[in-house]
Amino acid sequence: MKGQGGFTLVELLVGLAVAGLVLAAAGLMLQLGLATVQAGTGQADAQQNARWALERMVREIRGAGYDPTAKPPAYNFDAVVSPAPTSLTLQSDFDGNGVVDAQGACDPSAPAERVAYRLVGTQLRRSTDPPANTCEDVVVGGVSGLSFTYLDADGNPTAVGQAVRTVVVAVTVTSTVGGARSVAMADRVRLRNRL
Amino acid sequence: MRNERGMILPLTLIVMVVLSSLTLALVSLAAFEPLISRNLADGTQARFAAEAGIEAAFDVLAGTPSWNTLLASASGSGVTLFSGRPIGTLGAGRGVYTVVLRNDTLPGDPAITGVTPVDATPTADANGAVILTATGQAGGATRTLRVAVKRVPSLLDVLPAALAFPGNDAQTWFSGNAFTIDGKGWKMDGSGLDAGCASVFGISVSSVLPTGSPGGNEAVVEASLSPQQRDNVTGKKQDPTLPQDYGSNTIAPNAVLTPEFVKNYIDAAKQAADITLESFQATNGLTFTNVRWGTPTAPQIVYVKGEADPTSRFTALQISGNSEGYGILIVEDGDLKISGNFSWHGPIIVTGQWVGVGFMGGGNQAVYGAIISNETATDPGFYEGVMTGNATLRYSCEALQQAGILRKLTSVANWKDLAPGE
Repeated sequence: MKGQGGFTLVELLVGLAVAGLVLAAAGLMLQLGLATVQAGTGQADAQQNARWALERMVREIRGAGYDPTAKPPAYNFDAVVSPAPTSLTLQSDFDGNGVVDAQGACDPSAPAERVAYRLVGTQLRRSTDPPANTCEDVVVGGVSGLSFTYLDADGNPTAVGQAVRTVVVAVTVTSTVGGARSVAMADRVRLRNRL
Repeated sequence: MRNERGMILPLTLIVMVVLSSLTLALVSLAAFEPLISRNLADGTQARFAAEAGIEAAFDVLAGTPSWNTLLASASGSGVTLFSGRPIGTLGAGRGVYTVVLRNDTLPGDPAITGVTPVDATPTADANGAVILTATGQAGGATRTLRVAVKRVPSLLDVLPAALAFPGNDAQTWFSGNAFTIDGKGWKMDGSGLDAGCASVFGISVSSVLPTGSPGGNEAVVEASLSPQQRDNVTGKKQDPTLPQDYGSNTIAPNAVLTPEFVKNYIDAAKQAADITLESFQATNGLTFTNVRWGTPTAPQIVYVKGEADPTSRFTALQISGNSEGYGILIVEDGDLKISGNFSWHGPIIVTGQWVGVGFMGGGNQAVYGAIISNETATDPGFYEGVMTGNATLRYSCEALQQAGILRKLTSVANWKDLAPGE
């Protein structure tokens, strides 16, 4: 064992202390990075949900009031029923029989002629049999705000279903992943089937 | 310690594997988000492209006098108007659209167009309704929109004469020998005959014979013309074997232009009217002096709604002074009386109960287009048509199909965003 060097206790302690410091710093950085990733994921999640909710509603609003037997500017029914600030009811006549039919069974794939969107708790729900709402699906969760503004042909707010030509939809989605984060989005949709 | 082996290599490898899989997981998570966003962006872009396709196709349809020229090569599934066309001046990278035009021939098509009955063949549109399907593509996304395009069937296809009386009565009064009613096709500016415009009769009447009236309204009109006046009415021959292209041989009954057609036509045209006026008996109707409605490039639809007057004395619209117009002039439930210098380019339609059109003299009066006087009441003794002075009525295809009018009478309806596979 001659010539073999060794560490003294002091050297060992200093070494351990230095290593501890380095590890602590690395751990902190890792934690920070993870938190950032999580926050980003949460934000993206909220954004994705808001976009999806908006897209789903906008697509349906744009085509609402489908009324092939009408003689514009007179229509058989209103595209938007009793405009309300927190819920939306749309009507169409896809089979062209001149009336808005009630849906027989809860079939999400069948084209529903009367559709409603509303907020229940934090869930945005789409119903195909309003106002009973027994056929209702959740579009997205985590919705903290939902509002509808109705405008007439001149762009002025209106509460009369027959006068509605544009619907402004605003959605706020809050994600709790990595801390509460809210994303607010709005879109303005012209009813394509109303002059 | 000589044979001691280290564990450094395996340890390093394990740590590296763990770290890199962690990194990969994070990266793939992060890469997933932009993909979703990309999808959404592409979808939106594709929908814009499809909408652009609808607009572009509508522009073509609105500017085409007869849709049959577009449908000529159509099969049951239609004819492609545009294929893979970029939006305006944007490059193809911003989305392209493909538009298919289809005539409504399927049993389910009334649910799209709202028009019954459907047409018989894919190549011939008779009911003024066609279906457009536009598919927009951007990136990997596809969106399909479907609309019905509707138009009031063109007067050109049904007008039988320069002066048409499709209604119940056709009592006419002609004064002097200076008036002209000409069923030969003229250019809209009156510069000469239009070779591309086929002649129609001078005067047409309803083919429905009133009871107890031998010869019907045709005989009534012919009897109201003196032998000197008969050659002032010219046009297509009723009997092609006769030499005369004037007088009784160009006054004929017609079953195509019906009161129902006139009603449907004005119902649609008045929705598109640029000027809508109401005329009341209590205030003796409307009088315009020195009026100018529409221009050659921007024709207007003028609609005057009167009130039915069983005494037939109510003049819903009176025009005097120096007046001119381009477009469609419609007077419903009341007379139209014209005096002074007047020119109109396009159809003039007077329809409803106890109505008539009168050229009252006192200036140069010229109409290029056609006049329809459609009496829906039965009122023996009251005139449906009066021509005095040098009133000139010349049939003109050009005036009847002015581009602006076509565009106004064409509309998009029943917009639908189709789900995949629909």
